[in-house]
Amino acid sequence: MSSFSELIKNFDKTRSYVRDFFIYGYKVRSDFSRKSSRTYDDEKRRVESWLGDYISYSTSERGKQTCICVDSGHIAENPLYNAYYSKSFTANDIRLHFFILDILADEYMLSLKELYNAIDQRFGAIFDVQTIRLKLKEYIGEGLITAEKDGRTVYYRLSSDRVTDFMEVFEGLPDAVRFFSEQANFGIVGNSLMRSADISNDIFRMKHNYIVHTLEDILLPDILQAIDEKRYITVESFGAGSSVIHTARLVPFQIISSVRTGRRYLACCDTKYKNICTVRLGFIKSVKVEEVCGNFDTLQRKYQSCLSRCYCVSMSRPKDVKPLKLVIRTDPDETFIPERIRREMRLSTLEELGGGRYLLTIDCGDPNEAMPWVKTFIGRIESIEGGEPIVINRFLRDIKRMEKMYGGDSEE
Amino acid sequence: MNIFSEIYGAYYRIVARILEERSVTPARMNELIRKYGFRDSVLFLPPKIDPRSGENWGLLRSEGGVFKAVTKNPPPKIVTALQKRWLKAILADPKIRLFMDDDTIARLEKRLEGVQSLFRSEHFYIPDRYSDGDKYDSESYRSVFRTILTAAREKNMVEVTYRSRKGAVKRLILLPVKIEYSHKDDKFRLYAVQRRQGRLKEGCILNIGRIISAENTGITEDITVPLDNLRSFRRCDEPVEVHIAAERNAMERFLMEFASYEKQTELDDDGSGCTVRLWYDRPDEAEMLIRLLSYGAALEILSPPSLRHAAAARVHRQYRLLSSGGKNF
Repeated sequence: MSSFSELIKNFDKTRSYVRDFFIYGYKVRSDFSRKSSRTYDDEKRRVESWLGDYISYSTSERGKQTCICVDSGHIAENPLYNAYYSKSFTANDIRLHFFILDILADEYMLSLKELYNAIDQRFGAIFDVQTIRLKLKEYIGEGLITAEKDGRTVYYRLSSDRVTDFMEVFEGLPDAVRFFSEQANFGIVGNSLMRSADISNDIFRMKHNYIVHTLEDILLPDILQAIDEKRYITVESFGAGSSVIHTARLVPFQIISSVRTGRRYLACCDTKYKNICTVRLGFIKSVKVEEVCGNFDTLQRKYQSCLSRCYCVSMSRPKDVKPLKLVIRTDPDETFIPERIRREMRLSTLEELGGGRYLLTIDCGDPNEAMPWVKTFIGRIESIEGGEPIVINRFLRDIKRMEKMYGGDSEE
Repeated sequence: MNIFSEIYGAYYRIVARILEERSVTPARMNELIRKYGFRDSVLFLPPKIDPRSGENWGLLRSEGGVFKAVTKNPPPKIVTALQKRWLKAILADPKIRLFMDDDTIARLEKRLEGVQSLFRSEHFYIPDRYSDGDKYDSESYRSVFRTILTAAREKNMVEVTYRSRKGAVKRLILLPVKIEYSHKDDKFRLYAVQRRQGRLKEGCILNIGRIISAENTGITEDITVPLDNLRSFRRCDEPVEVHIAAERNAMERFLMEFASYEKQTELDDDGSGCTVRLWYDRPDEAEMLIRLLSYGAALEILSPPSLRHAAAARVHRQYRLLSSGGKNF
């Protein structure tokens, strides 16, 4: 039986556990059916270790619930970043890391053979030459080391880009790093820079911040590379609440990120069904970059065309959907309502009808996507028409159900 | 080049700290592990570092009761290729000019010449960000922002001229404490302590976009004001409790949308829905109400009574509006 470690080799499995603990919070042990009970116990213990202060427990009739409980507007740094700081490694990895950096900190540059000898002399440690060569190659990729050839010999030296130098020379950079490290998309990289510079975020707070997105950032480098190089990707994904994995070959175009719903999607073309669609980033398990897509530009134009009528993420809709028309009623002192509509509306026009009444016209491919926003005006909607009958009827049914739910007129 | 790499990991960072100190006692080693590690790292890491342990990594040697680094130099802290790509990406964000002047940006761009940006704004599409975000390209906005940021750093009082929502212009003397950014509004807000009649008194929140001018008075107030103190009087007295029905994917949608709040959830025994308790800040109550209403009949506000009554009033008004319209209700 292998012993427990708080470090992990594979981010995918952990990602899904952290996500479930954070988003749902009501799941109990038996809900994690994807893996064995032992896996659940190990993953839970790791999450408890990484995020100790943010873990809360409660007991329901179904069992003990574990929840990552964070108000993202009240924290200085995204605690979920800790999951990224848990990569496992071997004893040779860490020894070589500090040995190589220590020797190169003294020397201008060294060949592989010189480095091999220096490690032996300074630390009395013998490593396979090939092991050192691979580590140097890896560190060239990571930007820790640079290599240059002199004749047939390659010489290695430390990168001259030091964290303290950057932070001191470029005035304002520490605060910029503090701020952007809590922004969506790769904030984890900024946080790693902050930790390296030994600074913390003591000024900035983020509102409406979906910190869970950081878990999806692990997928983004491959997706963005495929977009830039106009390549196919093979994606493994599962549905909400399902453990069944689907594999699809996609042409990626863009990441659609909703700041209101917290959902992020990959906008793409599904090569099997030949349609423009979206896939929830949180449901993607893995991404593999494939060969160049010959008709990428054509498909991207098709995507842009879909986007022009897309309210949020619904792409493939009939073109003959009628605009949704609402008359919004306001009181004379409620000038903030039309202001709010103008600030928040999209694919829409607002026309003042007089007497505090406004005609809001939403012209999008899928009116159903606009309905959550429309419902924020409950109490002010004088009439609603157009769109699709099913959408209008559902709204009217909703109001009748809510009227019953909130006890008729007696409560007002 | 990988985000998930041990070179950024907690264990490497702890070891680097210890090697930086050159010599540590076992107690100091454990202290550093507790400070920079995970909660349980102190259970797993010491045997790997302690040179007396049979499974140690050989990075320290034991000498007279202390552990000494076998390395000669403090581990160099290098800006990695990934971090440089990230810096290059944030340089393209208009908000970078809130922190750095044009000359500094140009020098950093030069330093990062040839580095490929980690991402570009075109990679992302945000369909629903509000359209009246702060004006980061305005020199006066940037000047106000920098004055406030500098004052917050130096704990200096600032004198600001502020235009309220209703158009009234006020002069205030404040101690800036925190700066909040809303991803949805694309706006910054200042949390500050206001001086009245010569004394630091109450907390206030100002939209930075509404501040017309700001001047650093140079007067230092060496006090620490935890943000939570400023916000605690704004925290809701009791959480909002809602029930979400398992229909139209409402549960999943709700839990994702409100993931940024502190919450407690419980699934119904029969799986027909779940009950959620959310803690929110009182100034956000109106926003909370309309966001909850956006779930229609799939969500019922159970408490507090004030929020439930506010929702009920809007629903009744809506019901009457549609009833009086007649034709399809």
